[in-house]
Amino acid sequence: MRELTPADASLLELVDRLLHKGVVLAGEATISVAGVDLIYLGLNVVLAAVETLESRNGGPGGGSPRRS
Amino acid sequence: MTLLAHAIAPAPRPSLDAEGLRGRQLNWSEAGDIGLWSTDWDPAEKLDRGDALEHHRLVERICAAQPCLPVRFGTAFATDDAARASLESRAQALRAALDRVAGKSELAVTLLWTNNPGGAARRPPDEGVGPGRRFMEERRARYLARDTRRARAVELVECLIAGLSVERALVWHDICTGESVAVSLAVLVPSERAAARKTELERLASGFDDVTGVVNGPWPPYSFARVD
Amino acid sequence: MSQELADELTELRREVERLRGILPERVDVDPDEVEQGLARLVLALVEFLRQLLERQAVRRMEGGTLSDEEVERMGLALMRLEQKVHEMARGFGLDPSDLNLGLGPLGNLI
Repeated sequence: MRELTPADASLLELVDRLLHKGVVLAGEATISVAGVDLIYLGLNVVLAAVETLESRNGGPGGGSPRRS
Repeated sequence: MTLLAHAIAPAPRPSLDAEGLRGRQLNWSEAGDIGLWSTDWDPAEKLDRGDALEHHRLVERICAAQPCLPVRFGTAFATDDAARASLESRAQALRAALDRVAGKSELAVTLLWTNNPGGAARRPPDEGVGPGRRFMEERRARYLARDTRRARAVELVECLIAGLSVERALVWHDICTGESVAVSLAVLVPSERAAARKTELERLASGFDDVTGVVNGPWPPYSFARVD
Repeated sequence: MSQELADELTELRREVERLRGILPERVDVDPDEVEQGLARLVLALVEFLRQLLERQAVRRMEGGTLSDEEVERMGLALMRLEQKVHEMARGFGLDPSDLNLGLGPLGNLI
């Protein structure tokens, strides 16, 4: 992957905010944004599986504190 | 026609001299003491990056005039009633969020690694070392480099937060979000102090040998608009 | 479960949560894109597990309990595994770098 210039980084930060942050309102549809791959289906299933594994291990991080 | 949402603001409808995306109709949907700004949109029409940036400019104008919560780009409602119902169902949380961000703006700092870890001197392959072993050694070096970078990124975050001396609730951060990115951090500051705080942040971000700092903003409070 | 595995799981959960925040409630795209999107998800998870496996293997090697031959065989197997996963990705029109969950879909927009 090529190096990011400061200008690239600025655009990246802005677009990241527009697409992934802000209020997420319940019960609304979303219009797809051309050029952005928004299709990750079934992630909730994966998430549930990971959480199950973690809870068997005594909670996130194996029960010991982890710096994030 | 659907409503493509931009931002939430307190009622009554603030006076705003602006058009919606692509010059289309800008709407205000009100429920109780909050309202939603949106553009009339044809749902079959895809949005592109230009629209995203125009949405940002519109959100900036909205936020310049009053407290506002940016809405995630691409959010759409089938009707005005649907928009108002959505506002009503989260009214309390939305109002609390508006209070949290009122009079405040977001500054964003990105720290980019200045050196490429892959550029570290490659040991010449040892005589008589098989490809499998060589692979393992290369992977060992790679994961070590990654772990070292992660640890350093954590340090950098702590330095920034300490240097800013703000409460942690006003800071959001993430580390190693890409090959080149060590730290991505957002801080909520009073809008009237934004310019001064930006200068401070630029100074902080430029004080490290191994990363280049980029500071953006003041922006609307995108990173602090989440309502759980 | 080892601490490292627990840490990796935490990392996976964070990545999945981040991706979930990106998900629209309704997906409105043509069939070709859906297939590639699914492939990307599945392969991204496979890639994550593959890298996890690699890390575990490196730790075993560092532990010093493996013979040279075992290290060689392990390295060859992991090399072939990487080749296979990357081949599959390319088969779906994906670049192997698209499989890194951390980058997400943003790469396209630069």
